[in-house]
Amino acid sequence: MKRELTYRLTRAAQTGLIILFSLVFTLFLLAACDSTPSARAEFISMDTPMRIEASGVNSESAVTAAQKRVEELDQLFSLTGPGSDISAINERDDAAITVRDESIELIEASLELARESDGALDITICPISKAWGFTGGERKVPQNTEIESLLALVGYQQINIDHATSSIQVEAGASIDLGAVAKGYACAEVVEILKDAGISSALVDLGGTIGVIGAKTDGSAWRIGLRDPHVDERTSLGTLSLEDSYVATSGMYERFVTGIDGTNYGHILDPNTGMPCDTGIASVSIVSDDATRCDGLSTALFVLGPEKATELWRSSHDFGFIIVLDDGSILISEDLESSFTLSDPARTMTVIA
Amino acid sequence: MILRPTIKKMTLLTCGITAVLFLIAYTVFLGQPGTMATVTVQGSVIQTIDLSQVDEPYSFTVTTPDESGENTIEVASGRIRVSHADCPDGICVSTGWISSRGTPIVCLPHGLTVTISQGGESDGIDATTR
Repeated sequence: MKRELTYRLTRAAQTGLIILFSLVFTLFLLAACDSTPSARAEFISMDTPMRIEASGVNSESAVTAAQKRVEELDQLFSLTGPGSDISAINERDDAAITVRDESIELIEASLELARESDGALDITICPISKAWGFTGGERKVPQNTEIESLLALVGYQQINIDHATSSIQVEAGASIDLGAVAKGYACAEVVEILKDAGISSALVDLGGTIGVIGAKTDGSAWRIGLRDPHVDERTSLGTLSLEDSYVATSGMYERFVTGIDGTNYGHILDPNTGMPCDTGIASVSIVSDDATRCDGLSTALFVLGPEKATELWRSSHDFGFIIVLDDGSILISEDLESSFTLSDPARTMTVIA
Repeated sequence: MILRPTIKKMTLLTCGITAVLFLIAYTVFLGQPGTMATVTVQGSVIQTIDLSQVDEPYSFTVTTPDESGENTIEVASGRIRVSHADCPDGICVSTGWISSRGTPIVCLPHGLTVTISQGGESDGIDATTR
């Protein structure tokens, strides 16, 4: 009798153990199956490294489609190449060229930004950036006389859009370079493709012009580092916490021409003078829900300098900015204050209202 | 009484199998991934390296498909860099060591990228605007 009881207890314990194990295992498998699939693509396009990360049921096909779209836009907006609307416009002096809707849309958005910034963003700066060697060729400091004669070819008023015939015409000698806005436009396109595929969490980094969809899969906001313009690439000035937004930055750190006297000339040129900007700004980051505007405004505000940049912000208020000055101090628009964290809290940061 | 040993064996076997399955599932789904670095040249992946498995630092050289350029890549435990390159701007070399996913190394003239594609140091940053 005693032996019988022992046996029964043991068997009950064993059954319990099996049930427990099975339960844990099943729950675990369920949890594992439930974890959303994710996809990631890394590639070079528009002369810059790009990365798209998305989580969701269709992420794999959506990311592939998004990359394809960026490469297509790269061809369309590139300064050279047979499939480029821009190269077609630039090569055919004076004549109107029929272009794709995307080109019309982006050129129109650029012209609006040019008017808003009083020409600080000007997509016709091309002849002068060529003279400096910033768009291929040898980097050199051009003669003042050369710059002066080329300035006659610069001015966004030289572009005419004809919507009826979907065509663009530029005055003889003038040309278009969409470098300041193309990544922003592509970023918006990628975000749209991902959203259409039902993606609710994604990070799109097109060479530092960044778009985020929703929050991260763990529910926290995306954390976007701002490069410190005075230190190397890996040192971050601070972090922006963002959801469903875009951020773009223009800074003097990426490309230089060094003159005979050893002076470094940055690649952001003032369309009014043809000379590299010297407004006391080291970098400008813009946060907005319009990607093209984000990209274009980062250049425009850089060219305008801190005072005029602040004025432009006050007149529109539909974006936020973080400006790093040459002396290392920071200006931040009040709407971004709560989402920005400085790496070094001791750094001087002025909130602009 | 005759059945007793058989039941016990089956029970143990079931528990054993469950435990093994559980362990496999745990490693596959929850296990900490190593720090993986990916080297690509002009769009194709040349090498994927598990940086957490590197004990002795080593270097190797990557040549562009048209053999016009070279980048020497140095690998160490948990980090990777381009130590030498014959490109005109040298931006890839000046980027230095990377160990987190936030910053890639890029040599535009050669179309080379080096990225931390999995794991890596968590600096809490998902991407860097520049």
